[in-house]
Amino acid sequence: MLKFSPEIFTELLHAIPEAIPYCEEPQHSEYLQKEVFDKLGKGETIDLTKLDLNAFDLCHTALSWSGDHYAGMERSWQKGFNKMLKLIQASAREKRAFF
Amino acid sequence: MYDSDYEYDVLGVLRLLRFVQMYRPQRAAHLVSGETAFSVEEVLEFLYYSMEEIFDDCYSDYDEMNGSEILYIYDSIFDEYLDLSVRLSDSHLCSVQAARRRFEDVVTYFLADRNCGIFDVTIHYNDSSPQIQVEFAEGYYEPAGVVMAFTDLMHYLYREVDRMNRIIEKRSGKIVSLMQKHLEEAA
Repeated sequence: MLKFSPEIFTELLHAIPEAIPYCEEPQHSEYLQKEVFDKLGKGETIDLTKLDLNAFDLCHTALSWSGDHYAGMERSWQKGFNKMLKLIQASAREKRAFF
Repeated sequence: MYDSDYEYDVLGVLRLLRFVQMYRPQRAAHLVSGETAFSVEEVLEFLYYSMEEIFDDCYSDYDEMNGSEILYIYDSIFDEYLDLSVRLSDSHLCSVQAARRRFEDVVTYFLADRNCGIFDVTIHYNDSSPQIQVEFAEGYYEPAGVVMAFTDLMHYLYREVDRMNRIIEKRSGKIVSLMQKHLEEAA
């Protein structure tokens, strides 16, 4: 157990959590276009052993609609959360969990 | 984005390879070994047999009763995520059960409603280690969509573990400096 520190406690109260997006913004990669998709489109084969896996990132392999999918998920989860809040009995709202 | 008829499935392959290269580089070479003439006809087979490389331990079973395939998944990052969630939440009175609920929410968020054939997701705890059980719908299965869902989940967990580690390090550093300050004042 960590020792209670008023300074850290106050800092935590004011700290805004770091926002991490659930998925990276899809980006186009010239390398993948040229070395993979153009070749496959012409009916050629690819030598995966020679593919430079450090020449592209996960954002270059994200689907263009994956952001919409997660945005939709967030909206439906928020709706569910609001519904749960509405079902909480009035007496329970009076209780204080932390302070 | 890449103007290709095979974009969805090929992106699944590339995402799998990039993920393995990022988090399990020692496995990447093994994954592509022998794949010197990779064609679009091999994409689905490659995805199906390679997705286990995303996790530490992964095996499948067939449920004869429901006619569906079940995938059992374990990875050490699951334990790490749960452990750090509890450690980081000491001051918020977070219990192990609360951390587990949070983990279950994360898994559900990334794997449910993907329209790729994942029918059901459940989590079991063996000696406090979580194991994810993924059941696929009978007769419908999209390996590329499944790989996308798995890599999204794992990538998120790795980033979260990294973020929590940084917070803990920062906090312990501050406690040490506060203790040093008190000691100096007392002296």
